[in-house]
Amino acid sequence: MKYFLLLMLFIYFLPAQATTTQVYSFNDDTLEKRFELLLQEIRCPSCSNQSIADSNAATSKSLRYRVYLDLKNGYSDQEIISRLIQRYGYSIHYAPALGHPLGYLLWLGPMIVFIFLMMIIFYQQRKGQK
Amino acid sequence: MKLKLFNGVIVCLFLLLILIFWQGLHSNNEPQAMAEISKKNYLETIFNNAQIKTKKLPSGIKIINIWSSWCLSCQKEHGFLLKLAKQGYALIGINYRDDENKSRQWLKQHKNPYKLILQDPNGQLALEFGIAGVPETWLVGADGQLHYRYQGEIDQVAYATLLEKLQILQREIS
Repeated sequence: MKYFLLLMLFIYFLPAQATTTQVYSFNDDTLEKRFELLLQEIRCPSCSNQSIADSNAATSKSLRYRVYLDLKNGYSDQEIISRLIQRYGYSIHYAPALGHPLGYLLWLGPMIVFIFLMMIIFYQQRKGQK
Repeated sequence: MKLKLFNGVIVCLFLLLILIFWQGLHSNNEPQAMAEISKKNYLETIFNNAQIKTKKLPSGIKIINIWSSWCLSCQKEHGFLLKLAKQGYALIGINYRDDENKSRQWLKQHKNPYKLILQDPNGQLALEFGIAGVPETWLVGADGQLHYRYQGEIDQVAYATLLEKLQILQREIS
C-alpha cells in the first residue's frame, strides 16, 4: 500500500516533467538570469497571452533558441528585443514603453489625467470656500 | 461660462479619442514592423546570414512556403502549391522544425512542388520572416523584395488572391 501510494505520487508529477523539453545551460549565472527574464518579457506570437517562457508552441521553441543564441553571441537585452520587434512588431514585447516612443504615453497618460483631475477638484474646492 | 468651456473641452477630447480608435480599426497592423522585412534585398540578407548560397536561388518571381511534415494544414494546402508549381512559378520550401528524412518521405507521398528546399530544424530561418505558425506563404518579386504575406492554410479564396498578386508582380517585370 505504501509503495502504491508512492507510485501514485510519482505518476501525479509526471506531466510536470513532460513539459520541459529542452534545457539551456549557461556557464554564466548572470546570463542565465537574463535569459529567464527575457523569456518572460517576450510574447508567444501564436498563443493568446502567454510568454515564450511557459508556452510549448513550435514558435516559442524557436524564439527561446534565438534568445539563447543571441545571448551567447553577446547581444544586449535591448538589442535582442529590438531585433524581434523588427520582425514581429511591438506586440512581441510585454513592456511596450521600451520599444515604442508612444509607449511612455501609455504608462504616464493615466498619471497625467489623474493629476489634472486632482488640480480641478482642488481648484473647485478653494472656490467654494471663498 | 467657464463651465461651458470645460464641457466643450471634455467633449472635444472624447471625440478625439473616438477618432484615434476609429483609425486604429482601419490601419494596417504594425506598418513599422514590416519596414525591415519589406526592404529591398531582405531575402538576400537573410539567406546570407543563414549562410545559404543565394546563387542557388531561382531567379525571377519566387514563392516561399514555410511548411512541415507534422503540420496538417500544410497537407490541405498542398494541392494549391502543386497547381502553382505547374504554372511555372518557382517555389522555395522552408522545412520548419522538421526531420529531414520525414520531410523527404512526406514529399514523396504528396509530390514535390518545390524547386529548392531549405532545412530549418531550429526554426531560426523562419523567425526572420516573423512567422507565427506553419504554413505561411510569401511572394517575392524579381527584385528580391518580399511583397505579400499569407498566414495560414491556402484555401480557394487565398489561392485566387495569390494568383492576382502574382500577376501584378509579373506585370511589373514586363
